[in-house]
Amino acid sequence: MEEELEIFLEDCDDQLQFMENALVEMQNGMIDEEAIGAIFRAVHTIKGSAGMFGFDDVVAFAHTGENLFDMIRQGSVAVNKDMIGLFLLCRDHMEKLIQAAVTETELDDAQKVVGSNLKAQLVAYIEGKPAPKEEVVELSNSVEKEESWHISIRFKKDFFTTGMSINSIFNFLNKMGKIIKNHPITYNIPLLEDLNPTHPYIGYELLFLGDTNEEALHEVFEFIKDDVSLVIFQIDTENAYDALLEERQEEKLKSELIEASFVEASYFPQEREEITPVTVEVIQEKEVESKREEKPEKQKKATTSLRVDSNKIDLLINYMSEIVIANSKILSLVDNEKDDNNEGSELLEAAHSMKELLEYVRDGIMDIRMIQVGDSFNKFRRIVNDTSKKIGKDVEFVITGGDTELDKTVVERISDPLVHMLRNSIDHGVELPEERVAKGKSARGRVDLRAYPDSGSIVIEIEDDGKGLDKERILSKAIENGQVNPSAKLTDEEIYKLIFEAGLSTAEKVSDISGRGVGMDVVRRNIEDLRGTIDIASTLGKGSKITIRLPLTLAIIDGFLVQVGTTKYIIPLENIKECVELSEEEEANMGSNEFINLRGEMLPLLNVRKILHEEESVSRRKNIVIVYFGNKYVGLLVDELLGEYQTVIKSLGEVFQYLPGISGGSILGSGEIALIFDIPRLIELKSREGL
Amino acid sequence: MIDDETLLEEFYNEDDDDIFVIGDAQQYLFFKAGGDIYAFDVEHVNEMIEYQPLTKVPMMQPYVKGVTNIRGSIVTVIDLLERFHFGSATIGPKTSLIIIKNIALVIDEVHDVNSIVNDDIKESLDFGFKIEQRFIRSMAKYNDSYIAILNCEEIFNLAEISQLKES
Repeated sequence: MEEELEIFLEDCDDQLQFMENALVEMQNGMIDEEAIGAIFRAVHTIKGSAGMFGFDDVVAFAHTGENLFDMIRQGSVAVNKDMIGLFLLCRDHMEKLIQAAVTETELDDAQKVVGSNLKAQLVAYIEGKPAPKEEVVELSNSVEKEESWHISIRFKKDFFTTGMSINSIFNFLNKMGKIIKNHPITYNIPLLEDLNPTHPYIGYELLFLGDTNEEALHEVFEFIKDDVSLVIFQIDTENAYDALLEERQEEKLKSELIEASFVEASYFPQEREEITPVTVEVIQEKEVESKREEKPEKQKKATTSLRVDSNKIDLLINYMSEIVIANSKILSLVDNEKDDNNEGSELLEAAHSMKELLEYVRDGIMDIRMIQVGDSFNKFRRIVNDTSKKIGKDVEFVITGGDTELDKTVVERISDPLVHMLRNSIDHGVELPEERVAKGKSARGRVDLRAYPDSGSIVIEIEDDGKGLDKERILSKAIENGQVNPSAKLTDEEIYKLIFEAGLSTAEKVSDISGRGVGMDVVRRNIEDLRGTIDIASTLGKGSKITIRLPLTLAIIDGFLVQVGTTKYIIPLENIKECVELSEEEEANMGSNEFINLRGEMLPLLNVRKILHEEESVSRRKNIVIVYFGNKYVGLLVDELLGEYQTVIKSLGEVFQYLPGISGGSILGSGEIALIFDIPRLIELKSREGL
Repeated sequence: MIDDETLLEEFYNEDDDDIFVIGDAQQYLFFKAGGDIYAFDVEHVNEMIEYQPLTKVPMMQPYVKGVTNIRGSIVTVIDLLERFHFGSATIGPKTSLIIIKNIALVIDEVHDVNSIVNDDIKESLDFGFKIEQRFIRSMAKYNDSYIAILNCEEIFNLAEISQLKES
């Protein structure tokens, strides 16, 4: 892709994100001039830059949106909830248009229909037409000359025995007219173990465009009419979908229809109120909130920023490390010089202040990589909104500490695990509104996402006020899976941590949101790869809290430099408990065993020289560095302790990708390379070998 | 006046943009290892430097000697002779590192950079040469004797060289 296009895409992504943030904010009741202004500017910017590239579709669509927003800004049109929903859909459509324009592809027909529908709805608002629902109907009438039909198909159990194929139905329909939207209904597909491959579990909701009538459509299914269940209706009749929902009686169909944008969520306002009377209250609360004019926490401050390719920064960091190394050589040369001749002291001073300044510069460069987590966190708002809506839960999502800074790579790599955990919290943690009320909680659940710095690392917490973890269930499931010995006595914390093991899901039903028992182990692995830790606390009935602790940056590590044989190793400081000397007496006591008695506790020893095939030691003293990971302690037998060392981690290269126990290398001041121990993996490896 | 572009076209053979061609000859780097002369296509060679101390990395294949610092980058070091199972390089004043694809190859001595006309390049023999046939890309007539032009892909076969040593 051309460079300009790439910049255009990046810029559009940003603008769309601004829009989304502002819209979600408005959805939560914070409708103010600032938010509207932000959206207007975003739309305007996209229109402008799309114009430069000649993306006419994007410009035309954005133009309509811009017009409406201009009117809103001037106060001639009032914003309502339906409008915000519409804008979110428009935002999504705009994204598709931009993608299509950049990749020079055409939108498919269904998307085109969606687009013209959206545009027509925007126009309707501009022209000041009333109730949006009727407009949709009117518009779909005016936009298409042919009639739009909705065809809902479910197959009876022995459908396949008729010898008809589902495909041929579609083919036939496509001859009569055109299927412009085909949404498969998959929620009736059972778990694999319960699945009978000869049964059709799938269903279809079709949007069909054709010059035909109901009778003709039914005739399509003439041969199989006893083996399918059909609902066919013209979509532009009033309350058309009510009949469908009544016929199907399927809980989830409604949300599927909304999701596949057959209908707008606002189509079902009454039902929603009936099912969860509590939300009414919440909406009122929101209205009260929005009346409070000044909102203290505004998420976006206008910071002037510069977009820089991260490779350039990495290159700078590389050069910087080189300069530091070169400078340390100068320092030692000057030092030697001084011994012979005292006149070198001025040079020494200059070299020292140079060293100090270089460290400032290095810290400054490192700081460029740090970004605020807020932008990334704000993206989760929509996910939380959509997820909770989909499963009928009402969740308040509160972000605190969005201005906490973290290395860009860490922020990027933590994003997926966080989404996963948030979904888990909503799906398994927070209860349905009626359940919550029955338990005496407020109907609206709350999920908190916090970030804050704490003693040299960054802590991210996800807390929900849901039902909490069921210790007994987790434990019995783990015993059932053979992951835990039935006679083992585990602490609460150990039991909770079992949810991070592979294959352990206590969810009774698998949903597309969570519950497959893969995921939490991947989450843990991802976080450990970032050299972070994850902990979980929970109170049954009250909620759970997941605490993730991450290093500030991936690139720098606080380590302890040791020497074994002729090689230098760095042990991450976070894994070190203490260092002790191995006395000759102790060594004699050990005999051929490889453990020592440390203040009454047995401590297994790892002879680094032996496992890494190092040469005989040059020093007479032997030292033990006691490292730990989780609750496992191991003593590493090394030759020399060389002291604390802050260092830049570098990859050793692809050749060493399978090497266990070593996570990378670091170039020391002398230019030598020291190897960095990966203590968790090392302990894991040795435990598996049975030490 | 001669057009620059036609000159360039003569310089590069457009049919095979991987190979650097002057006329119908190609440039090769000749070096000694274990008393024999081998060659690499210069196109593959990033640089040559004097041998420098390295940091051993444990648990790897014996020919993976470790890593070394080349201007701030960590580079893997492989002993070519050990890769051929001919013992290992004796480090002397002429020992050099040839850097190809971010891997440094220990060799005894850089001999020459010279071109060989394509007519002097022959298919390698199925057998009969002391190193494994898979390491040889082709044979070349150089100073009246045949030498092996080495196959980088096979020597730096990542799947093979990244294997851990069986303990």
